[in-house]
Amino acid sequence: MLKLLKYEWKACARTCLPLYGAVLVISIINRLFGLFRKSPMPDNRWIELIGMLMGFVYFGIMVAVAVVTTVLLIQRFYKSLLGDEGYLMFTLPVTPAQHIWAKTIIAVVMCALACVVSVCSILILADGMNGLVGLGGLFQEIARMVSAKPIALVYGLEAMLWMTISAVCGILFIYLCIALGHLAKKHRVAMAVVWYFVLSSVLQFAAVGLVYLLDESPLYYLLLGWSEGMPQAATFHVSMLTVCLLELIPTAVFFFGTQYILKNRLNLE
Amino acid sequence: MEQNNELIVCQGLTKRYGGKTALDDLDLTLGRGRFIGLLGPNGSGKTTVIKLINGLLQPTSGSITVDGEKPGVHTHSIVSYLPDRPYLNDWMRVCDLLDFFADFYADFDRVKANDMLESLSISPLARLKTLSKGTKEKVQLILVMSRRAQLYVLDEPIAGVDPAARDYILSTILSNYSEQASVVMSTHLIADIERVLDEVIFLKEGRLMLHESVDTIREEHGKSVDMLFREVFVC
Repeated sequence: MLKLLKYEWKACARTCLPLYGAVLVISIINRLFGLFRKSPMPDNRWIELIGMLMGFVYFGIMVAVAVVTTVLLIQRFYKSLLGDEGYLMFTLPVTPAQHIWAKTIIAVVMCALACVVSVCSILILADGMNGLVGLGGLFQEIARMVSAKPIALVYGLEAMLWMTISAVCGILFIYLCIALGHLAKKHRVAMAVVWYFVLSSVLQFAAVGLVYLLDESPLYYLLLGWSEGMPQAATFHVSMLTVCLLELIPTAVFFFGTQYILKNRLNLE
Repeated sequence: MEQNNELIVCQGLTKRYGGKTALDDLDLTLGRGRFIGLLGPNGSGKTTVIKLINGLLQPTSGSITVDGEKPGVHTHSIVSYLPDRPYLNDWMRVCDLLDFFADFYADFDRVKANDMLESLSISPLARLKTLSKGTKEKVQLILVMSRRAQLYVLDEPIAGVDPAARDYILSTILSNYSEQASVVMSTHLIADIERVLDEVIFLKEGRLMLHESVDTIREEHGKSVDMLFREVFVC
């Protein structure tokens, strides 16, 4: 499993890390142009023009981060397992479940990195290197809060757990759609897109229906984290943990569905 | 652990793609220590059999076992497979691929792989995408033959390389599999491999036409495998 993770990381990092690095560099350049514009220098149209262009480049590269990360996530599953590379991957002595987890874990890490880079980039643009220094200050502030009120750490961990499960759930949902598309005789990519829209709609209807059915039920109150006389902290914990547990259900369904198809219905034609 | 002498067993193995039957009710048993030619014209089902052995296709009906087990983690660890297409990551260097194989296959012999690379003057530092089609095929074959596997399954391994390299590859294959291991090789170039074959399988339109030892063919039919092939598959 660790070996799969290592190779998956290498394959993703060679595309993503240069792009994430470029985002930070372009953010710094944009910040410098911003400072030039503010400084009492004689009017220079070239600096204005280049500054404007850099603004466009920044916007473009931020869009590229989102697009490349998403496309890579899909491509790494589709091409590496269901394309020609699948002839190598599916003849390794590892299980389909290990393949799915390796891809999911690295995809979650890449999504998290994209988020961190975006936040850092915005901080640089807003306040130059002070922004990043400010980030250090923010961490210090968080550490101070946690030491003053240790329960804050638990809140933070619960929020991170929820975000991680949500990311895993979303990624496994995409993998399931790709695997379902693979069951078609032809137009497999198109069929994966069709499955994505069909299943998304079904899940939304199911979620709305569930809320309607559960109205005023004990689970409904668990979700709201509300109970008579319950302290505020406990309310938060109950609510977060219930949401996490509920989200594990579709996550498990998506995982086992994908695993079943890769194990029992694989047809690399 | 005692080894079963039956390495591959197919029973009623059938594979259909939509309405087209690629393999029809194949019953076949292959033993250990044999060099087996899987022969037949285009579309006869050779690649389908090979993919079923490797678990890349699922049978429509019937069953296939390798070393007594359905294709899975165990069979992948004892079968060394060369597909009929480029299947390695283009961006990787040859030495990265050696690392990859060494990481995943316990039976991979890096020294042997490096020796073969050197014999064919292929730099381990070269990136795969900078190599010619023929050299890429040689790299794939070197990786596959550097494993001490129990079964080598080679799908058209000599089709894309020049005749001089073909001889080297055949001698490489011959000198790199042990007495207990078997080789199943599909090819159209029968004359080139006839001298190394122990037995042959003729497939036609997904059906088994013939499964005989090469000695029997020579004794009973009085002709070479190449001649018999031309007779059976005459257009």
